[in-house]
Order: sequence, then structure tokens, then C-alpha cells
Amino acid sequence: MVGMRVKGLSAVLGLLAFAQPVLADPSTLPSPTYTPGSPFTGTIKVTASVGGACGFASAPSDNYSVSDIDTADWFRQKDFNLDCNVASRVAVISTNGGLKTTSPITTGYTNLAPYTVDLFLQGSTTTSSGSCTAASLKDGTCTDFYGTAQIGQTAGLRLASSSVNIPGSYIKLRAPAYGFAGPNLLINGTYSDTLTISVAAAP
Amino acid sequence: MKKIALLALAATIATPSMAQTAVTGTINITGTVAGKCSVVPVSGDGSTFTANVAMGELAATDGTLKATGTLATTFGTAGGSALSVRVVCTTATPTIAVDADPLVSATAAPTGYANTVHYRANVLVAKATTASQTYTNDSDAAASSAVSIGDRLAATGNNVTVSTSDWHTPALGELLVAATDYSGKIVVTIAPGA
Repeated sequence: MVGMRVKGLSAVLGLLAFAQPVLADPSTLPSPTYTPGSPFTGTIKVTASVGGACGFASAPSDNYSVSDIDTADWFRQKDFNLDCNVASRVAVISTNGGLKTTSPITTGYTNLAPYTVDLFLQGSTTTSSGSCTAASLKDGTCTDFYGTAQIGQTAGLRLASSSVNIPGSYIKLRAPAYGFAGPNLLINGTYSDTLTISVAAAP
Repeated sequence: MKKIALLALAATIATPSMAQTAVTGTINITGTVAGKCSVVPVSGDGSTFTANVAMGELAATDGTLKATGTLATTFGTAGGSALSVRVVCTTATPTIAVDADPLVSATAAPTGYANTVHYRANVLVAKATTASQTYTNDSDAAASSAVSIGDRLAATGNNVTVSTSDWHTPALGELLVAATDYSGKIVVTIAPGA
């Protein structure tokens, strides 16, 4: 008899293990009945939900190189696909706040070249877009999509509809030739920056 | 007793919906600014500037060369704003070389006469952090070698200004031969340097 009770309990445990249940309120569970001399039987109501899944179907990762940023316009565009079955947010952070070189500067010169970041998100029924300077993606003054996207938080550009591997989203980096108008002149050197792009289900 | 045990087990196994962590992508971008010098506003490829200076009459009423001060003033007046330019170099220590060639006429000059007029070219360079400096070359001397300016060029405004001084004939008191083809040039070369 004891062995049968253990078998019945194991079956219940099996159900619980495979499900992803939301925490059940024990007070709502039906009471198992036990009659001495009969097999143990019980019924447990299990409910579950699936949270919003969100990521990149194709991540916006790449390495770009541009030449003569002082005299030539440039832009680079990285296309990517979201993989979000709910609304999402995409956020961006710039490491240097522009293309930067480490060489020292003097009055009238600079080692930081500005550029602009455009973000466009393609959803199943809606789109979303924004634009920020690289500087504002470092100091946090960009209101469109600065930050790190996190569940339950509002940092990032919000796409109201789902977007499951839909092409059309992109991040574009661009700048006109820096030129000689100032206020400061670019010094020679190799400049660099890193953009970190994150996505999460939107609140 | 069994009921209590079972409920406790259910509470232990059931888990709430898990929060997802953000997924990220990374774009690394590099750009370059080559060591270069340009004349701005950029015209053409930005590598040269040109000023044409018509000196007019070189001789005084007695046939000898006008006074050096007079000719220096004439040079500045005739050249005007074209003698002052803005040069931009991206490098920390650009170099400069100055080469002045005399005004020479093709007309032959017998003894006691001259068909050549010499002068000194003076190129004043404004620097970013140190005092301005003048680089010179006499037209009767070899071109100066390229030397380091030792500082960045001043970043704003015109920073290279050309003037002249010490106008003279090869021998003192020589009479200038009459001609309308006296011509010479000053070449200023500013390079990025090391």
C-alpha cells in the first residue's frame, strides 16, 4: 500500500517538472482524498504562462573601418532582425561618445570626432525610429534609445508590435566630413568607438 | 499528513515566470585621419596656394634699384590678402621649407648693369602653443632645408604670412636693365612631418 502511494506522488511530480507553472496558491489547490485501504489519488491544477521571448534573430554586430573622416563623408549601416514575440525595446550605448584617438591635443585641436546613430525598428504591424549623437549615447542625454534594454525598464526605442525575424531593422552610423570649420581640428591618428546594442521585451 | 506534505512539495517546485536578460550586439568602428596639410578654404586638392604680385617699376629715377623698404612695402601692398593664408596640418610637428628665387630678366646685363634683383622671403608662421616664428630664405642663397615647426600650427585664422625684405642687386649700385619680364617666385612648402 505504501508503495502505491509513492507511485501516485511520483506521477504528480512528473507533471510539475515538465510544466513552467506560475506559482500556485496552495490554498486554491483541491484537497486530495485518502481512504485507508485504497490507492492514494489526488488532483493538482497546474497553470502556466510563457513570458515574452525577445532577442536578435540576427544580431547587429560588425566591425567597420572608415578612412579620412576629416575630409570625407561616411556612413555604415548594419541590418538586423529582431526575434521578439511581444513589444520590444532596443537601446544603444557608445563607449567613447564619438570616434576617439588617444593622442594628446593642444588648443584648437580635438581627438574626438562626432557622428550620428540612426535606429530603425521594423515590426509586424508597426515601425519605430530615432536618432542620437554618439556623444549623447555616452553621456545619457539621448532620449530616443540611450541605455541598456532590460525587462521591465523603459530604456531604449520601443517597438509596439512583435517582430519575429522580420527584415528591415537597421542601425546606421553617419557623419559628414569633419572639415576645417572647427571649432577644433582633428589631429591625425586612428579613431575608434564601440556601440553596444541591447534588446529586451518591452514593459 | 499526506495532504500537507504534497502541498508543500507543490509550492517548492512551482516557479514564477523568469525575467529575461537583454540580448546584445556590438559594433566596433574605427576611422582614420591621415597626417596631412591643406590650404583652407580648400581649392582644388588643397595642396597649394598662389599669389601673383606685380611689383611694377623696380628702378628708382637714377636707374638703380628702389630702396628695399619701398619695395618691401610694394610687395605687401600688391600682394594684399593673398599673402596671408590658413594652412591646416593634422600632425603635431609639421615642417616648413622656404625657397626664394630672384626676379630675373632675360635681357642681357653688361658690366655695371643688373638683370637680377634679389630679396629675402620671410614666412611668418603662427603656432598653436608657442610664439610665432619667421622662416627665411635669401634669393641669392640655396633653398632652405625643411625644418620642424616644433608645434602645431595655430588652428584658427590665417597662420602663414609671406613678406619680403633686403631687396638688392647682385652688386651695390648697379643699374637695372630696362625690361618688362622680371619675374621670380617664392615657394613655401609645409609638410606633415614625422
